[in-house]
Amino acid sequence: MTLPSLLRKAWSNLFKRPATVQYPFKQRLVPPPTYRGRHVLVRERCVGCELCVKVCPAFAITMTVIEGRSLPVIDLGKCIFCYRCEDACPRGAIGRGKDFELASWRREDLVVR
Amino acid sequence: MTTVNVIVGPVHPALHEPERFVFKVDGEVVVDVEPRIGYVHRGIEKALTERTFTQGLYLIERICGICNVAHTLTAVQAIEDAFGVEPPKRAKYLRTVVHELNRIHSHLLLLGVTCELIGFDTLFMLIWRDREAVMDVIEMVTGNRVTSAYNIIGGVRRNIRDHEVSEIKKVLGTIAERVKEYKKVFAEDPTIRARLAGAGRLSRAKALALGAVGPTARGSGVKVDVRAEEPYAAFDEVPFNVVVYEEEDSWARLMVRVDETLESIRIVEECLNKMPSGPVKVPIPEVAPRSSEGFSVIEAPRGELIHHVYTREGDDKPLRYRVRTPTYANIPSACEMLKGGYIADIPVALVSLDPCFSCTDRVALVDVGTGKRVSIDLRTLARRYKK
Amino acid sequence: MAEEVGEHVKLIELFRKELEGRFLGYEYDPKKRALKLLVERSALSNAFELINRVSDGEYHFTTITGADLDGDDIELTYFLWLLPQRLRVVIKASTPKEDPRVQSIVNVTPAANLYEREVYEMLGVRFEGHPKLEKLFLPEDWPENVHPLRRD
Repeated sequence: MTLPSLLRKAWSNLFKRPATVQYPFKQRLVPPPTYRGRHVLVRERCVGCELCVKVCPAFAITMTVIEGRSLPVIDLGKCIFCYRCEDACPRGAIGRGKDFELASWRREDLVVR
Repeated sequence: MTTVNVIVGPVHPALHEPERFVFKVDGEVVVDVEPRIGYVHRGIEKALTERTFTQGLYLIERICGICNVAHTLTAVQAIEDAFGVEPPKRAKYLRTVVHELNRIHSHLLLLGVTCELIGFDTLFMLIWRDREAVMDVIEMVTGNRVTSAYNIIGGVRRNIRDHEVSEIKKVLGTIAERVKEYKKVFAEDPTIRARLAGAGRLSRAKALALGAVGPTARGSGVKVDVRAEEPYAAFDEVPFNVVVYEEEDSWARLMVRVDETLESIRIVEECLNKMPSGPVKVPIPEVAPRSSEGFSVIEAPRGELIHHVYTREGDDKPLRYRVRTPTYANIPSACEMLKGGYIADIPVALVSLDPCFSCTDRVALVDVGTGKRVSIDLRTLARRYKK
Repeated sequence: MAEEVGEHVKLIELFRKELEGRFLGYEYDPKKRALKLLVERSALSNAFELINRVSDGEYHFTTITGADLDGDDIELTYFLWLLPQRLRVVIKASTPKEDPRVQSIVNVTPAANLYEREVYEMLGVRFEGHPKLEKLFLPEDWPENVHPLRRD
């Protein structure tokens, strides 16, 4: 009969730290370095080859002209966070970020420049 | 004999995904069942013919959240079959590792859900706490808890590092101990046995005739597991046991999954020990190099999954893409197992076959009649990302 | 291993003997242990009876794929797994688009029920002898004779 063994576990769990994480009030969660969060664009490295635009499966990247250079803009509303753009970039201008708290009040704010 | 029609669904607390069943009941006994599926029909097969292979891969991944690795694995294998590309050995082992991790998390999910359904909330919470550890491991290896985006045509996207390997082994060691305890609970606890044993009977002959797959078939004595019969990825080099139970009821199907979780943990450890060195991907052609077809069959957590693709030479989009998911194959068996049982056994029987209706309904839709398309999109958008 | 290698040969010979002219060809892939058999559409239910006989009823029906390959025909592919022989069998048949009728195999293989309905609703192929050939995924108010996977 295993009823006692589960009871024993339940009893001992009463005295252990709860497994529930009181997010976001007491503890912030930090994902591992391999996590695919908000992109980090390193502007200096971009050469404007537009490979990221071609490769994106969700058509979320467009190029705009900032200070005379053609740079990518990622629309997070369309992005599926697959990070093929990072794979495709020959200069490493798109990097992985850990930020996943991306909710915003306005659609226009959901871009990464 | 007068029968009453009892309608379950499409949205119902006992079902996790929408499907409408009309049960004809006589008293408490179910006499006949008629299913009505198609509530989450998203037009994926048609959409895939309008996207390139690599773009389509991400759509395929989202056919199902829980078994996303299974879908991407089958897709890349089918496309590799059509293109004639062979991935490197290390990639095959890595694919197996992530595939089995996916299976562990999916089975733990289902075990927890079954407990919740029968009212055993303590066990549900305990199992899901252990599942969190597995999700963290998956996040470490692939970059995301659910949509892993790990398999690509020609290999896998990322390599695995030594500290990740030792972390996986540590976590799996703890999980294995816990799952063995849960196995004892499932096998011997009188409440669970009273609720599950005898519910949803499916005889072996019927299971085979109606095309049942996965744990639904293996819980009825049909010894078929694609990983053993048609080995793919690294399964031709990693030995494991096929789990079969003869009791033919919901309890048997559940025990199949518990044992499979333990087997999967062993497979992952074995793959990590035997991992060959080498590249993790090979370059692939941008367009299809020949007009041919490819198909790939794998054992997803819910059963046998098959993708069938037709390619045309020089085209970067598939000509026809067919997906047949395991829950779709299990629907006739589901109806059969519900007949002759009580109404109270309906949720137990349905959850024991691990229904994933977002997988089932992905077949094609075309943009005829914009009014219909809008209404379907609104409903499906609400249910698009599950679990 | 030897008896498994020979199994596909026995099946090919059986098909050739019983179906004669209606057996159009075969292709065996040893790496995947998959045997592809081409038959004429009129021979489908005989083909399934042969499969039933050869495997003593122990075969698993996987699925049916219907494909409009931009030609004059619709190609149907039936996937099966034979348990005793441990062989994947793929049976292909074509049906012309102007007259897309095929025999239903539901009497021999009850598992084919839902798949035939799906091919009917998506491509318009009528399976004669099917007990309930109606729509599966599409909503009830979908217009008749509009088949989503057809290219025309």
